[in-house]
Amino acid sequence: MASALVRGARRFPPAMWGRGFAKVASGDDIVAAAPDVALQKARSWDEGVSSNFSTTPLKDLFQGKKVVIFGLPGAYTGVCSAQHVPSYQKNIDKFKAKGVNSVICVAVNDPYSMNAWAEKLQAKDAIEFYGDFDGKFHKSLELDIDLSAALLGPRSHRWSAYVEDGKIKALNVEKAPSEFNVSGAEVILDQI
Amino acid sequence: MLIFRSSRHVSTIRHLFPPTCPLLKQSFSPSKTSTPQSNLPHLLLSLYLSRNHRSQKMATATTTAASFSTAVRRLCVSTSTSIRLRHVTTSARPPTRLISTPTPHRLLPLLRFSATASPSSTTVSTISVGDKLPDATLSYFGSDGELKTITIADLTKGKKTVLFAVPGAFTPTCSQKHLPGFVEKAKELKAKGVDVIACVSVNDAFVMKAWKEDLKVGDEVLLVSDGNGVFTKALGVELDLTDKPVGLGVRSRRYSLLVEDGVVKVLNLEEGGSFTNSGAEDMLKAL
Repeated sequence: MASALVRGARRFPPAMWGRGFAKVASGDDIVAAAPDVALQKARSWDEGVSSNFSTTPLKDLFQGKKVVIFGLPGAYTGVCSAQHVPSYQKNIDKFKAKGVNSVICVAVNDPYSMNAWAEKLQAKDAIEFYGDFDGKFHKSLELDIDLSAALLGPRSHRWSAYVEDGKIKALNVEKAPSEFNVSGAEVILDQI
Repeated sequence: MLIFRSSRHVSTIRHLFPPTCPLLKQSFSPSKTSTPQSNLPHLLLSLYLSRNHRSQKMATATTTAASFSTAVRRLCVSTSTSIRLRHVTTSARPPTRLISTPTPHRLLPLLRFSATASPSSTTVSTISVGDKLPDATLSYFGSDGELKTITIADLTKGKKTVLFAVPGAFTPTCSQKHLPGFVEKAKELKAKGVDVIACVSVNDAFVMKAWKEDLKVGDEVLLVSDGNGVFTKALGVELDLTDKPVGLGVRSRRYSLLVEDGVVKVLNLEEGGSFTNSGAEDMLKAL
């Protein structure tokens, strides 16, 4: 949608906000932007079997809730493990104090790797991890990036957003996935 | 028409045999110390291949049900057990024997027929014994924690290599049976002259490294990542799970193979992710 791109560019000039543009911008409905998309909650295989490998549609995640969601290129990778997730882990109490219902981390990984990673980082109680295994969620938000050169395949940008009842209130996208400037917890705390 | 190539078709042949049929569990791995009878499937297979030259390219082979049934009948040597093949019309004439030895009908599951005409397949023909492994670049984390790449040529040139693939890291069969099996038998495999044991999966190198640490695998087995699925595609062994709710996308079928100087000597290829003949014990037996 060209209008959304233009809107995004006006609101988020790249110089100020990094990459800045995505298909959606502040004020858009995240559920409407990605209509048939569902995410897979990070879980072990056995949990998957017992839940019939159910997927979670986006509206269950966002409707009627205040959600801080952040996406990163890949589980177990450097910046993601060392800086991105920990920044949200540390500030979880501040998020709750501001009335945020859930903090969600999403990456283009299968739910089992996400689960093992979340357990390794001991972040499962603070943050909900979801796997966008086929990349559809990120593709519909135009936040996908091809990292085949780094032997990672199709992944997502590093980004964070604050979504209230499905409406995006703030969206921060890094210029490059390896950077960690605007998508951390501190930045979005100020934006809530 | 021989459908070796498309894994999609392979998975449909199961319906051709009764569910309790032990043939379904038969593995296709000619062993050196086998009896002449068990070598026969391999022999017949190569005979059939030479008769119907399988091209490496994506050839569209079509056949009618009649010629399929003739082909099956010709190769079906025993009438002692009736094998019900849904698309074959049984005739009163006893099947002609291709080779006059009393053999069990083991060759049938090895010849992956499909009664339906294959759609124009754009998949690469599946790897089989005697093929040279295609080259590809895989990645892994060295013991120094550095991301490194390695090619198939590096892993197999001038060496005896055991390569096995799992559909996904952190999934049950892979984590509990397949990989640990090879870790346990690594010493025995190396004693039989294997130089390199490597596990491939369509996961990225970070996940493979984490999985390796999670299962406390040492240096006996090298865990390499076919992150973009290039090697898996080149072998023709992809497992497309994108429409399944398990959330795995396109992965690799489970297999184990023995490569000597780049040429496949033993191939144990599973359908999908089942775990019947691609374990370490079967590879040990084949050596």
